[in-house]
Amino acid sequence: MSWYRANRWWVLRLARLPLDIFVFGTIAFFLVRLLPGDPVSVAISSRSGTVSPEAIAAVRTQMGLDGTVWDQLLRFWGGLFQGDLGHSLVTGAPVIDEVFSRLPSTIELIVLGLIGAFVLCLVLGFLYLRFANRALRASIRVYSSFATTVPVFVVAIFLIVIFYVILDWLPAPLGRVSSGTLPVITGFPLVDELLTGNVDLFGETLVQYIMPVAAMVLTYTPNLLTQYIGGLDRELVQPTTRFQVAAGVPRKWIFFSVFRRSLSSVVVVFGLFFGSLIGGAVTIESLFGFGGIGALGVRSVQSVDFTALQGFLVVVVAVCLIAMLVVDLVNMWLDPRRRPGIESEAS
Amino acid sequence: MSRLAKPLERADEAIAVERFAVAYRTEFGLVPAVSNVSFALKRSERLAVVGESGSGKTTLAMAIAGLLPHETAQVDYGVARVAGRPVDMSASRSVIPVRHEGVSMIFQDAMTSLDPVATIAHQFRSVLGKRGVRRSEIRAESIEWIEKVGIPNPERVLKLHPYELSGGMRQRVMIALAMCSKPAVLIADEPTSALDIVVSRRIMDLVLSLAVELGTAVIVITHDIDLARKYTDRMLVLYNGEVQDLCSTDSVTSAERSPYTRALLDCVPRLQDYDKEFLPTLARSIERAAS
Ligand SMILES: Nc1ncnc2c1ncn2[C@@H]1O[C@H](COP(=O)(O)OP(=O)(O)O)[C@@H](O)[C@H]1O
Ligand SMILES: [Mg+2]
Repeated sequence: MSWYRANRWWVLRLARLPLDIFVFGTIAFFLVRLLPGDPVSVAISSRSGTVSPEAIAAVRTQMGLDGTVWDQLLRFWGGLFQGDLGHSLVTGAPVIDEVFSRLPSTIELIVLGLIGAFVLCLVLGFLYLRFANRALRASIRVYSSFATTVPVFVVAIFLIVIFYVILDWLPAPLGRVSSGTLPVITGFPLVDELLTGNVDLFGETLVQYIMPVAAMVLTYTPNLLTQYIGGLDRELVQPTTRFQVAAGVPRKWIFFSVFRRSLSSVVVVFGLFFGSLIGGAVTIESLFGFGGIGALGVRSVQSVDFTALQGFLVVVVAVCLIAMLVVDLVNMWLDPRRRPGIESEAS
Repeated sequence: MSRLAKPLERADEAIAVERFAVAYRTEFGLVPAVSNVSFALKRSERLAVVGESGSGKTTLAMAIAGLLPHETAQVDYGVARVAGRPVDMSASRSVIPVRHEGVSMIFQDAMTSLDPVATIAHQFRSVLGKRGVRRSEIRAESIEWIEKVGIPNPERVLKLHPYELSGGMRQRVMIALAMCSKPAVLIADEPTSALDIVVSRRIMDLVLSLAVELGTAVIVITHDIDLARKYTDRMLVLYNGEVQDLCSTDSVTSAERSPYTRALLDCVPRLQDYDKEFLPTLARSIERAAS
């Protein structure tokens, strides 16, 4: 029981995840059905001649759109519990497969962009704190003030113009090198290329990633950096820092402590803008011709593909929720005062 | 410099400052906060710095400990020695101030002074951990210190975070952390102003017994004249950043003290005064003393 009490904070947080996904999935189910257009008539309109009401009903049943909305909802729930999101109304392929064949490449891009932004943020934060140089600190502050002002595709287009059009140092943004030529193992392009031993392809993909990832890193770092610099400035003048100096804590430890105390504000931001990150990644993918989860979303809206769209939404939201879960857990680990059930006297 | 060149009387000198002055850098230029302070303390000696709010007590203490960053304040001094060694007060290039070796300081609020996200064990390790010292030794020493400041069950306390301790325990942990580097001087800035009288006396007893054990000189900053008279050997009265009196605590009531000191003493409520309609205040006392 004492194990439970000590670990309750993350156990409870973990238990909330499926509930959140279920609630959001239900919302998505209804939202999708508000789209104008009837998938059955879309499907039938492609057939020539008149279609009998029986044939229409047959198509409706086959698409899983027969019965009342509540019947459909029950079927959707049943599928959700078994990890089955139904079949696409357009291609007939299982939605799960459709989503998971595209999701990994998008996630790969996001993860690379995030790691890059996080590392750059840490490095700049370190420079900001370590060196009392006015010019350096001022320029870091100016860079951080670009947070949320410049959209990622603007930065990407600038990079393309400079490094492809003018300098011709980097390859054209014309899609993936390995697209469709490799057996799919994990779905993550870089990982698959390594696993199948295609080191050349791996290198080419890396080179191709330079511009899109750099665009994401340059765009998203200021978001993290404003929080981080704010945290550093705040923690630096905290009585805690003063006491550490006064108690004779070595400078390295004090720096580390200030960095650590400021970190949780950065981690919070991660959770807040992960959703917009997916949006950014989708834009980047279409700009560089990568194809990914975004393309699926666009296709299913255009073709009124209810099942594909609701499956797409559920999975994307689940990814966001998992990201937020990780953010929460990391934060509670970094700063135990954030764990639920902890009453702090400090106000 | 040979060891013999060192004057003999400095052997048990804990701290000496001469012509010490601090000015804050503000948008209106340098604003002096403390000027021309000189004093010396032997090991285990206790000095009280008293004065009303804003008289520069904290400024003086922070400057002595090296806690005022170069961008915030300009510190001038004629001589400053801690444990016989001159203090290096060359401005630090870093945003974190550089402590003057051998001077520790404790503050009023232990909750905000301790690192909120680190365990007590970690905080001891950050002070005691040096190259070549084994973790188990550090741990043993931490436990010893926690016992020394009178906290039961030290193994358990090591695993806790500051917010999991009671206020009194936090105060004691802060004292242990400040003392475990065996400083030559401990400065306590209003260490007990937030505590009730019983707890505050107990904390003072603890600080002073540790100081005697380690031979640490103690500078107590307070506006509590009673506390100063009970616990310290000498008293430095500060007003507007200037020293009004530096005398032994016993002689503070004698007639040759400065008008300000006498006024300050007048403000201490005495039991027999409580039936009076007005208790003396500083402004009125100064007027009376000056006239
Ligand atoms: N960071 C600062 N910048 C400018 N002036 C300051 C600063 N800190 C304190 N002062 C001024 O210095 C004087 C002394 O303050 P302080 O040392 O805190 O007094 P005390 O501790 O005796 O109450 C006050 O007039 C205060 O306004
Ligand atoms: Mg003060």
